[in-house]
Amino acid sequence: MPMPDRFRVSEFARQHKVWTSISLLSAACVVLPILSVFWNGLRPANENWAHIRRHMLWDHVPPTIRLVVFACAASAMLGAALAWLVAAYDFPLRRLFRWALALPLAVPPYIAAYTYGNMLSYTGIVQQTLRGMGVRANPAWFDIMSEPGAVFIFTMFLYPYVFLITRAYLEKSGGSYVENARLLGRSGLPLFFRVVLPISRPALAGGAALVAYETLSDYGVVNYYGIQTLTIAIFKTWFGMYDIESATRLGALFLAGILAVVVLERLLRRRRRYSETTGRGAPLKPVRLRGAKAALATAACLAALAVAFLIPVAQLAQWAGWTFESVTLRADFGKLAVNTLKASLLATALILAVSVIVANTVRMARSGLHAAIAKLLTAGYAIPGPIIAIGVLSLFIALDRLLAPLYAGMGRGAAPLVLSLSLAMLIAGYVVRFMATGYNAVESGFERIGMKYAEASRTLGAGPTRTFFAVDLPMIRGPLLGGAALTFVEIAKELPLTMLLRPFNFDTLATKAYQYAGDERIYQAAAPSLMIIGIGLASVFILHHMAGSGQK
Amino acid sequence: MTHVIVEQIAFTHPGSRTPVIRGMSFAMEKSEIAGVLGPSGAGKSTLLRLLAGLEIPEAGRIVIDGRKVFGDGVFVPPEARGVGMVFQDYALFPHLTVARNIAFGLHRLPRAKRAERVREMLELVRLESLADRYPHELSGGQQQRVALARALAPEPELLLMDEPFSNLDAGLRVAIREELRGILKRTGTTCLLVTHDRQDVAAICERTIRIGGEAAGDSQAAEAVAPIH
Repeated sequence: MPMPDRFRVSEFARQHKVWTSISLLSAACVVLPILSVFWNGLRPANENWAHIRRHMLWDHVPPTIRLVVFACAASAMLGAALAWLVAAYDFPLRRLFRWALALPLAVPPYIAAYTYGNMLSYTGIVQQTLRGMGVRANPAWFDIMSEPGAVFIFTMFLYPYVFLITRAYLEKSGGSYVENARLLGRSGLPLFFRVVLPISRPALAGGAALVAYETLSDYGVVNYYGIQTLTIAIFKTWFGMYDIESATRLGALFLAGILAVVVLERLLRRRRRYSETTGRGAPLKPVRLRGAKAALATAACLAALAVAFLIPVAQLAQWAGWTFESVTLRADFGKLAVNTLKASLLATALILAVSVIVANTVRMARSGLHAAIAKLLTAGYAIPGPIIAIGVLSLFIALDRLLAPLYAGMGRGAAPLVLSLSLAMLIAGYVVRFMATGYNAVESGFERIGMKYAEASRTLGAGPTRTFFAVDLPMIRGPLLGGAALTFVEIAKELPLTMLLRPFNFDTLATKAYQYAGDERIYQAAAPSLMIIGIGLASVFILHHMAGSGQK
Repeated sequence: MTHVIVEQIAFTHPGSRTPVIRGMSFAMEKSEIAGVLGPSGAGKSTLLRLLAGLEIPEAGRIVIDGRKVFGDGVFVPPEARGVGMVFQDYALFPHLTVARNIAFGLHRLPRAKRAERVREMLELVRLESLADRYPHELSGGQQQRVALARALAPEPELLLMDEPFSNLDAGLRVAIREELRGILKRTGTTCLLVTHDRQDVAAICERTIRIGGEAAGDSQAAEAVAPIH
């Protein structure tokens, strides 16, 4: 065969460098907004700051900490208990509960918050029914719009993170420990507390960390329930005082606190390595329950599912039915759906494109630098949405200032804001925050196929580009689509980031539903809320499916 | 005529300090079948990867069919080397049928020629009836024959085979060895085959290249055992 193409070694290395540079650049784009929060936070304080520090900061820190600590602890307990139940015992409907107990993930906590808030209010279904039955209940008993109420909401709708991770761990490798404990005469509650909880600590920590990130990032629940968290402080400073500088300072402090906790946790974990010692535990075989015990197990799972999914969804469905014509059939409802679709799809496409390019480069290069790039690229998932919003906003404003001469040349006036009033800013925020969802899916897809197919393709005369399109891309299609769907769903239901970064008059399903709820028009909020839950259900099924195919 | 020349090549895995291959040299005649024999970890597979262009040597020179593919700043990437490879676990593309797997390396041929060549190759490995199957629908022996057909289809100057029999059971092994030797001789392919089984080499190869093992500790590297005829 004629082979005219000869490469110099340096040429080969150069191609390599191009992809590495693109990856570095992408990682930089993702990290820059986060760093800019720190950078801007270090600037000298303005005259508002003393006021904010005295009257806001110290009022908002303790509730934030209490909320996160209690929500994490309660979610960990509930998630672990349910995971243990479905992993270790067999009882009626166990196979259904195995995945159905993940359904609450489909309900964003802010929707749950206003649904339960209204159900339990004086005119809500619960108190009305009680009054109808002639029971005179003290309204204070039903006060969910409080800190314990918020903990309840976060627990019931975020516990599936703990449940899913712990269940997978127990089912896959809990067997040998549990069997040994049983042989040594432990069973029931002592077995759970002395063996199961300790061995699942890594899984619990992983799940609880996700609960913490979600809780810290939340705006909808705490705002609706009137709890003064740091996120609220940032919103108040930004929109109440129009003081972005001070909001940035708050964000930087907030971020420093989160980083400190993460670093502390890493340090503590290093000293006590509580990951599995052998790493090859046996699968756990469920023990059959009979009679009252079986009924009790089924009832417990059903109760959790009812509170965390069935009841609120049924209530929303009823409300949506009442307002079907006035909300659902109006033209602007279609516009909401289109807006949601547009923003989510654009951001998803961008995330997946960057993920594929970077993940491919990382796997080809297999170096420390590339591993670091991957870490940086996915850092956004641990950063609360409002902080990312601040970082993105300040970068876009800086960008607009930089481009001002260009705008002027285009006849747009002296100092206009173009980029920072456009949809691009919202998309950028989504990309930073949700890069990890897409990247992890793509990366796991590449890991599963390995390098051998690409190498076979190269020895058959296909260059890197043809190899990528004819071999690698078709082979990771499944994980790619799964990752895309998951990312899309996460973005579609995102609230705080959207509220902060959207262009003027740009509403998505999430912002509109929340606005209705905030305006005491809870029935109107029901239809868009149900749509968001529907989208969320899709993600739960995709996750379930991806986990199932991953086991093969 | 000397067809393949390997001169003083060296390679160290990234993150490792001791080189797996150091100062290795040998040569192969056209249409020769040579076996690389050595214990696991001796660098047998690495040698194949260096010849294929999947790894870049630190030093040395590789010449295939009179063309320098590595050395003095030259590096010809795998897709331009004219080297075919049969992987240990075959690496058949799971999303393509048998026929399209074999056609993968023929993208430079016009369509009609391509179909003809695929037919020839299927005939060669006696799998005409399975052209439209997917790899997972084939037995281990059939998969191996597809991998061979795919690698031979573009008429490589050099065919590399990595433990070609390791995934086959003993009975099949003997039969396939015979068949492989027949096919390689018929096509006049120059082939370098890696194995840890002396019987493979005895049954197929005309020459043995030993690597690692006997050579104690540091004094490593390979010695071409048999003289070049």
